[in-house]
Amino acid sequence: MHKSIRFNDPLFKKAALLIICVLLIVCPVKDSYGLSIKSIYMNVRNLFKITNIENIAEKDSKELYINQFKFSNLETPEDFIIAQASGLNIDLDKDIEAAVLGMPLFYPNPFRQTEGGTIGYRLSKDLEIELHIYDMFANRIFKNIFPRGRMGGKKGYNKLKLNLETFDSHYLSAGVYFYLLVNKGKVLEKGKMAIVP
Amino acid sequence: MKKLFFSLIFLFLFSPSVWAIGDYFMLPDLGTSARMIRIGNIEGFSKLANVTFENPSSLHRLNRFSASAFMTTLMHEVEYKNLALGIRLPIGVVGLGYMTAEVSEIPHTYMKSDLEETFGVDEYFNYHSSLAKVAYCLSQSKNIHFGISATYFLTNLYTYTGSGYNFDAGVTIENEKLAISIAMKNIASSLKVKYKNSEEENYSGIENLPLQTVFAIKYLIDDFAVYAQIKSFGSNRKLTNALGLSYTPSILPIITISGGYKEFVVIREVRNNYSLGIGLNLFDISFDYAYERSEHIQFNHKHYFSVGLEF
Repeated sequence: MHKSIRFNDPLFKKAALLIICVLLIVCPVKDSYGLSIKSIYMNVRNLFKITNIENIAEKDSKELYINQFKFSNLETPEDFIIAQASGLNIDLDKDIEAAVLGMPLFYPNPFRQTEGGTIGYRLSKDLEIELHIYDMFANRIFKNIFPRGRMGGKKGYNKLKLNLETFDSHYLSAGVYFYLLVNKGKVLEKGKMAIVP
Repeated sequence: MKKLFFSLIFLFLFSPSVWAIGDYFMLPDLGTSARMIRIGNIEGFSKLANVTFENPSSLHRLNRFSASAFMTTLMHEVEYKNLALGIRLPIGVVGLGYMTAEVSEIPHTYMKSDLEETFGVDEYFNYHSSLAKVAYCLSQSKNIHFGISATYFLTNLYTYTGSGYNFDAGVTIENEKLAISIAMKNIASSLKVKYKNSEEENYSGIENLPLQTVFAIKYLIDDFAVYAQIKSFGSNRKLTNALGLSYTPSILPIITISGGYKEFVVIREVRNNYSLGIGLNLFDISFDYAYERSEHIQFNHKHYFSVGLEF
């Protein structure tokens, strides 16, 4: 009589993990965040090299314990992998290219300084971002640095507000201004914003 | 007479300012010709029609007729051009000038969703700013010349339109070696540029036309010309200095090499820059080139070209 497979069987869980890893190797697709599935696999492969799988204790299907850290609400295989990487301090974003995804936009455009406006842009990963703003004579009128992982330099969508206080309560002349998003001296993207009185 | 003269200079440079609103974007602050830019943006000593934009009294240097054109593009985005004409008439010298700046493909944005608050583009618009100037110069004697000019300003930005006008006045005093140029621009300080919005009936915006006073001198030493200038900038009357040097070798007078240093104001901060350039004068046609370093992180260099004709 064949023994039926139970889903909480450790052997079953190991097999499922192995199948997921194989799929990751063969799947070349990158998601919208530029996260290469191959890069996740490479990190997981390193994870298996340095971690004895018996050290990873599982309480139930949605939680994971690694080295005294507990990861909850794990729904997808990617959640498990990211949790493992986080618990073992592996940087999954290392292979992701620093980029602004799409075009940075200013809203509203044109805008009035007294009412203010917002620059919105999406980053491929956590980055230190410098915001430069130039006037129509190519003079720099503003520069600020946004640390990695904080608003302005975090992975995903960032929004930065600009108003009269941004320019020390100085009323800029009506016209067009050019903003640049810079990381490590390289201009990632740029845009135009217009000011009216 | 001397006391009155210097009192007026002091008054013009240090008169109180009004700066509760923004200043209008003054196109001529970029420079009106490559020749003027390469000597540190020192105004009032050109022999071509572009001096219309600088000091109307300097039109006295024109022979019979002069035309000049200037163009540059900054950051691959902003196109500047100007064109000037000058003609000597029995009643004096008249100058006409037109200057523009254009930026195209500016995105007009909307909010895609209230939940995520991300932005999208629904159309693109252009920015266009221009000024037109009419100047008149009358010579009181061989050494003293007076001039006045009227300027009309126009700006178009999406559905917004701004317009205004003002007046300039100037005096030039010179002999064989020394020339002094004094100009006051936008002397009617109560006049403003007024904005309307075709999509908003009740909208009204205004910008100052700040009074600018320029005091410049030129001194000839053999093949060299030395320039110096004090200029007040903006509604907060920041004083800025400029120095320039030109060399025209007597063995090859068709070429002039120049360098300059200028100070300028960016949001209440006084900054400085250097410029270099060369001019070529062939058969009454002048070709001028100027170079300036830029603080832009991507476009480090600014190049300016102008051409002029006089006869």
